[in-house]
Amino acid sequence: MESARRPRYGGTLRVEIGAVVKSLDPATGATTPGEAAAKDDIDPLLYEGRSLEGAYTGAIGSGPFRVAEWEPGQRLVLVANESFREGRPFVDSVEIRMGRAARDRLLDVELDRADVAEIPPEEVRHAAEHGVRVSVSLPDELVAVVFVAGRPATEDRRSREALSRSIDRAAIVNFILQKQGEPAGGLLPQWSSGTAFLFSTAVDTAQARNIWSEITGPRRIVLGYDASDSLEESIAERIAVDAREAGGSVTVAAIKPGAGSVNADARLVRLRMASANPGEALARDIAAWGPIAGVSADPAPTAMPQQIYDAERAIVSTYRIVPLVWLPRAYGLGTRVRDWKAPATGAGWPFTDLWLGEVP
Amino acid sequence: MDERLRANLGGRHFRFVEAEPADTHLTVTLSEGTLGYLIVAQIRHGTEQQVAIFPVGRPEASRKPVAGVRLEDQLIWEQPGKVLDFALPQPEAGAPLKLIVLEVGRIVFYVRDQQQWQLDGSVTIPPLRPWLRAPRGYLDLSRGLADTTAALSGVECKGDFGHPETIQCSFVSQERAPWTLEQDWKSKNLASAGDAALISLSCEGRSIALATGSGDWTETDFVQGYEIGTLKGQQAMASGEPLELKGPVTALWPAEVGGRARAVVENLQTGNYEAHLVTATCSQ
Repeated sequence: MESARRPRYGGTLRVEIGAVVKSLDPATGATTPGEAAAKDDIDPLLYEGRSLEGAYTGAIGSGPFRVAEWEPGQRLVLVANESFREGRPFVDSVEIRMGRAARDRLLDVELDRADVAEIPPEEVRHAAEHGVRVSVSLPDELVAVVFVAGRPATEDRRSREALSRSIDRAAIVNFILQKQGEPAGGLLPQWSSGTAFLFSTAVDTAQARNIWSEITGPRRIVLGYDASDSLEESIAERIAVDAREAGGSVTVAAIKPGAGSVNADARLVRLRMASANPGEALARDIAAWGPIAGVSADPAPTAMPQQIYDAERAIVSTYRIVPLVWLPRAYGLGTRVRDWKAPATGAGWPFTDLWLGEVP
Repeated sequence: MDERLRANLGGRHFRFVEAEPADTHLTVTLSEGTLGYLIVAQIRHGTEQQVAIFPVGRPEASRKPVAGVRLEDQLIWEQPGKVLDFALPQPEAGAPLKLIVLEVGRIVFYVRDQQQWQLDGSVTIPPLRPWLRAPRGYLDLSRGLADTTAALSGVECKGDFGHPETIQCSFVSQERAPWTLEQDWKSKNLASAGDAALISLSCEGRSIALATGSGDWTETDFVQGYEIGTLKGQQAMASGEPLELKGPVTALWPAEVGGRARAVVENLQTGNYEAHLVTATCSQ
């Protein structure tokens, strides 16, 4: 008899996600951050490799899986690529159901109707209390306020600084995220850079009040968030409350996908780290944000810790990007999933290496 | 920690005095990131602050002697690609040390030159069937280098491994694969372990086996020495301290030299596959 720790082949992995993916073409842009994140997870299953710039290489189906059935926005069935260069995946196929509500995903994994289901970080505690086997990655997704350049309300640096100081990041982690994740003061998490502790995450309502009292121009800040993301909505509302307590004024505005230009002074964004390497991650973030007024920092992916810290400090000091919290990726796992590794930073779902055991 | 640091510095003739008002404050923090350990110095002068960051190496943990089977670990080789097995054939007099690494699609030969392994050649193993995701492999040098076999899942390559051009590969049945035999022995003697290897060493008349943990390949692993009872039906007993490793042991085989085993480890920190030679000795 083969050892129980040695993987076995076969079976269909049933996956449920909340995002809706409308196109598998890497050239077709995502319409929501959730769709973009899901595509980042799906693409590595279909393509053989990735260039240093992050583009997927090879033909679709050259990766560990091939597309067998595709109902855009609803369901994707992948089958194992028998000739995958690094060896055939253990599971025969993967069925991904999209657009599933968080409550339904949780219920399905509890009842073993799904093998892997994405769980919002704020639901992790609830899931664990219901006996669901939960996998949580390192916190590698940054939630931040990004100010829109050229807006009269926020061109004054003091206005941006006041907002940053008024935000109670610990409360966001403790209450909204139910203690999942960690407050963010810098652009890299402590586990990656080792220097995140140098960036304050403390709320400073008194100082924020002083700064706002000095500002004579427009003070009301319109903060946009993704209308389809309930976590962003909760965080935006919390920021508005914190700002009000410090004498500021923040109005939240839901932004619908494809709404085009929106009358917002700042936006909440969620940005996953592209790599666990701090230099590489920061370089990719800077490339994604584009030029930041008043900042010339452009660290190389191979930069030393001092250079990385200096670049991070230069960006954060402009208050054009205000880090809020680091989120982990969380998954509920069915009882037959074996050899699951929480997704590594910069990597997609680990479906190639997991296998399905017998239900105990 | 503060007390221990004070005691340690006191023992080195340092004197402690009360802090006097100072214009400049220095805070030193030992931190850690994915690039390694960092010493972070924050120098505050009024409202000004400077930060200096110095990367430092990671120290190796010290090991203490223990009773029972004592295990020593020697890292021979590491590489990003999957290693199925490896071997260090006994060198002929005056000849350089050789290393053979069995990979999924090839057998690679290295020679030791100036304290480093240098590539000496390789033999491609034809993909006689689609490669498995978790293929297994075994290098059998028990009949000497001139009659060596590299066994893989469904493929066998034989020849004089001192002359790689003689190596021939062919399709074979998996029924008598070495790991099938190992599994039979393990299920009778060390059923709860992961992989096991009976090595040519005995302590006080009892045979010694080495075995891995039984966790998933997502976890760090260990190699534990076991004393095999001489009576029929007697259970193997763990002996000595386990050898902790930085990832799962994906292969464990007895080496040709007595008291040794070859272990392949997937290092979860670096992602590399590592070839370790584990030496067991009897200790009182």
